Amino acid sequence: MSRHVEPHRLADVVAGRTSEREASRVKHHVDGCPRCSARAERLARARSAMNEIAGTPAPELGWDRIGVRLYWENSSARHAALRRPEHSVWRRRLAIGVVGSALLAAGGLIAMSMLGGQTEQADRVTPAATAVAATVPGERAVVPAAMRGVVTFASGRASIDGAVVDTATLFERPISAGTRLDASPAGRLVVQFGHQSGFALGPGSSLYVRRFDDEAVELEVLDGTLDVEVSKRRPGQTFAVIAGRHRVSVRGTAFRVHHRNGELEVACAHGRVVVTDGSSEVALDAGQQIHLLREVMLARASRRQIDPERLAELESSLDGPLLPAWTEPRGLFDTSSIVDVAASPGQEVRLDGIDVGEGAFVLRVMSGRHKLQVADATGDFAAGTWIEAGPGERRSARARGDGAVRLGAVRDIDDPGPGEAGEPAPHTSAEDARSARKTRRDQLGTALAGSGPALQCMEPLEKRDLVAGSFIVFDVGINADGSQGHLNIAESNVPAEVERCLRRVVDAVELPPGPLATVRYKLAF
Amino acid sequence: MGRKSGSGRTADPSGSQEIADEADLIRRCRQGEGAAQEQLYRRHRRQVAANLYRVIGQRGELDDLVQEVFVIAFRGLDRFRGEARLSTWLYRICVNVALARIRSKSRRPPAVPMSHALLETLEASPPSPEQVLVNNQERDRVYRALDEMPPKKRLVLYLHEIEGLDLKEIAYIVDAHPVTVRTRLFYARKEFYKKLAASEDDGGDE
Repeated sequence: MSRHVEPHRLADVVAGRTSEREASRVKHHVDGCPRCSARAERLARARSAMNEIAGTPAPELGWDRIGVRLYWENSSARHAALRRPEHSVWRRRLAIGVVGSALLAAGGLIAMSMLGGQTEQADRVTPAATAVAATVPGERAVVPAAMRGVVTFASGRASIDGAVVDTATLFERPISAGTRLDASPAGRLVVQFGHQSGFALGPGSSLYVRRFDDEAVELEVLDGTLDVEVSKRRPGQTFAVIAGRHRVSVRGTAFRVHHRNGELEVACAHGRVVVTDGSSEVALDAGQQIHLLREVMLARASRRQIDPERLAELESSLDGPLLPAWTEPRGLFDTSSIVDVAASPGQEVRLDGIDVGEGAFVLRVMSGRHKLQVADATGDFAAGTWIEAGPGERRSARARGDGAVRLGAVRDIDDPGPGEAGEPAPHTSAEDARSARKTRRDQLGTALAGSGPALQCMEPLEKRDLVAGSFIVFDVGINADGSQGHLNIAESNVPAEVERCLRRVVDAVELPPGPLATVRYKLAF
Repeated sequence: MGRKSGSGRTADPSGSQEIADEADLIRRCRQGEGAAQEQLYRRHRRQVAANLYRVIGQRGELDDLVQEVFVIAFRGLDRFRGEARLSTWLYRICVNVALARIRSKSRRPPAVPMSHALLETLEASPPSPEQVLVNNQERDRVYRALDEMPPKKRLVLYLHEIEGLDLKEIAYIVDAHPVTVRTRLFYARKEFYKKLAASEDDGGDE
């Protein structure tokens, strides 16, 4: 064994990554060892060079030339995709005919409606448009832009404007001013209306959205509990929750209003809220709450500190259901997905490591891959299952008591999906599930080993000498009869056309009947 | 309310507007909007080029590699999950493209080393010629040691020792478990610093 200090340990000392004691010990040796001393000096120079490398700016390249080539490549891909559904001349003519007829019919309808003077649209005007109509004639009004919210979480049955709605309608309908929302006695409803901004309607609670625009947000708690989180208000915008004769004005970010049978409870988690009843007002800072009994005047209310446990619950109340990014509802509908979770009452569910709910609920997520974990009977979370949901898709997941999760097929958001009856049961234990995955992965591996079609897919990359190191990872759901329930690309570093080709190859693989499993399979080259 | 950490559903509060802008830009790119793609390219092109340049250490084929990164990014935007910032996701693509480039490098003629190219751009910069020469020699020495390493080890070493990323970040970028990264890094560091020391010992202990 060498007496000298190993170079990587010397490098740690040079970079200041060791304890003082260790550094002192090494320095003591280095001082008396010419070889290690010389090495330390060189490593210090190398460290300096490495620091310089880390700060090296981009060299000047032919940016426009690259941009043009990029545009060309993307346009080519787009045009190729557009050309793919080759319609015959007759089909094209038929399509033109249909479009022409539709335009004529639409023109006729417009003409009729103009003649009639009254249109259905009058009933569908947005709240902002209503505001225009209500202004004094001749006065030029600055109309505040209407806001729209999006449902991101629902459990139990929910009603909009007094009518019970199904999940698809609930999740596809923007929430605007003039809307009444009701959560069932065991239900909960979360609406997001901005980045890290949203409200949660508690079990058995009702809410009326009085105003919802750039100037003012007014949410009226008709009955029950409302949790609100407002990360950022627009300039000049007021935000208030109305509960009976009381008005809770937002000066901060997160609070809860509970209003039932004439009683009022307001708890402020972050920032500051001011409660008024027209004659007096009480300001609540973070961590404070008031509880007003029926018929008790606000002036007699006293502030109390919220106990730590409740404060923590209040603070995290909206963590799970809010999406990490926000854009207007249409964009969100196009880029988000719905996950339908069926767990036992009280069984906790985590998505991407965050507690999002318990029991059965529906959650809006950003499209993509998410990790779903369910607690078992002891409250421990199992390893979890990856769930991949594309834009506009709806995935379902059923949880067992032992924390195992079985995914349902991919569906469109507005597709109610098949009934629960007849679906095969998930694996009885984690060991069974592991064994099933191994069996199916091995079968896939055997079927794809040295696959000629897969290698053919790599030809575009072979020309550019980029095959080595290329990979693609699939998530494959394999049914008991050997058919594939779903096939998703989880990750890859190959271009889209190669991905599509490889996906077709994997899709064509025929497997024998066997265990039900969802496997992650990597094809590496 | 309580800010989440280490999750795909997190967001940096200070950059909320930036995140919203980014989400909008991604959405428009996904819809194939040319102007949005150009905006994304303009916004990230220098960072992508710098990442590739630093990992590979040569500028010979940088134009092609930058193009390759953006082609993969635009075609794969549908799979961008939003669990990381777009720049991190692009960084990951850069690393994969660089890895493929490093692996195939042995079959290609040697390209112009970074320091030589840098010399051209630094001709009018303040440091003395001697200082520039010494700096470039040190950079060459670092890249020579990196070049001699297996690609996977080279990448984790580069990301940890030069870019200063932690194990979790590296694991995300190279798509490996943090424990795998830790093991790989341990051996990579031993090898790398041994090479640096050995080259000096061989070359001239005064």
